[in-house]
Amino acid sequence: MHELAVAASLCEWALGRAREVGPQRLVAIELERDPLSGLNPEAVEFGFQAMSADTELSGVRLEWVSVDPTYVCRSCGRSDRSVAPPRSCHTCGEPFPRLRREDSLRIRSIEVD
Amino acid sequence: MARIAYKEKVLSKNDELAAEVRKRLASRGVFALNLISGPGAGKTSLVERTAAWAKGRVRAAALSGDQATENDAERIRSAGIPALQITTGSECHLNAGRVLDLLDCPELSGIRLLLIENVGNLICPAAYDLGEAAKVAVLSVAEGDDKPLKYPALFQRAELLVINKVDLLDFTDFRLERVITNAKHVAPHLGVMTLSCRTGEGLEDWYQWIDERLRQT
Repeated sequence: MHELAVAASLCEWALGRAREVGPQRLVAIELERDPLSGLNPEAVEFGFQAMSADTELSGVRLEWVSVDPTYVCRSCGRSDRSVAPPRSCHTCGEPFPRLRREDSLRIRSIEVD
Repeated sequence: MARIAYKEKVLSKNDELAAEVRKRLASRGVFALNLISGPGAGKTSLVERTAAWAKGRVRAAALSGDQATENDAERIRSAGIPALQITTGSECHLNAGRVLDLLDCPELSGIRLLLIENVGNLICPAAYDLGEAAKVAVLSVAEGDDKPLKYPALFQRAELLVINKVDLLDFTDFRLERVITNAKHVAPHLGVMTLSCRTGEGLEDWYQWIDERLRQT
């Protein structure tokens, strides 16, 4: 539902990278998404294509990789990827590792030609 | 062809702005809550009740997000605290930039408590850090008690779950023990509070929770 806002942020970021890599051309952006992001990739792509038309991003491909959410121990900092929230840390036993929100949608790489 | 690796969040700009909001609120000693629920769970009623409680105790203000109208801000102002409406138009959530833009408004001058009422939506607001001290998820007994299972991200990111409209429990199939089990399943850390903004039942716990957090801020 907030895919257009995400697409706008992605366009802004990608325009910066496209100018950095010139004279090479940005052809693809690889994105990591966890299932708790609440994002519909097709809607992000729709927004991205619409906003990037007539810019140097026109034709840039979005590639999606699904990753499990990361949970981080509040005590020792151990992090684990898991679909279901762990009840306790596997190292120190501290209860209720927290969900690392920062991982919900990340840029993993770009492809240039 | 060449591939260049990154490890960057798409919403990193929002997070930078949220960090700025958090820094400014901390420097002013403001405790900020981000209230998130679907439409109709009772966020505005909870803010109204909190506004009435805050009057004479602690200087408070509210920001209220909706797609359209000033209705909620007007209701909250009538309850006794300054309130600013954020109309989001096509957007289904508040973002940190909208909050940052309002931090220096006179209505927020000298406050200790900031209540941010997000747009009614269980999905998108959970993804946006506003610079708050805590997210509070609000459910009402007029909804399904499986909401935590269906929309886990909000409950995993919230510090507290407030279950409102408990005066209607006898008239619905909603079961408190079931929603709490479901909420703890997806978010074991989550605190749970039951109350009714209509009758006032349970509100003392809510005020006490805010009071304790204010003392820590």
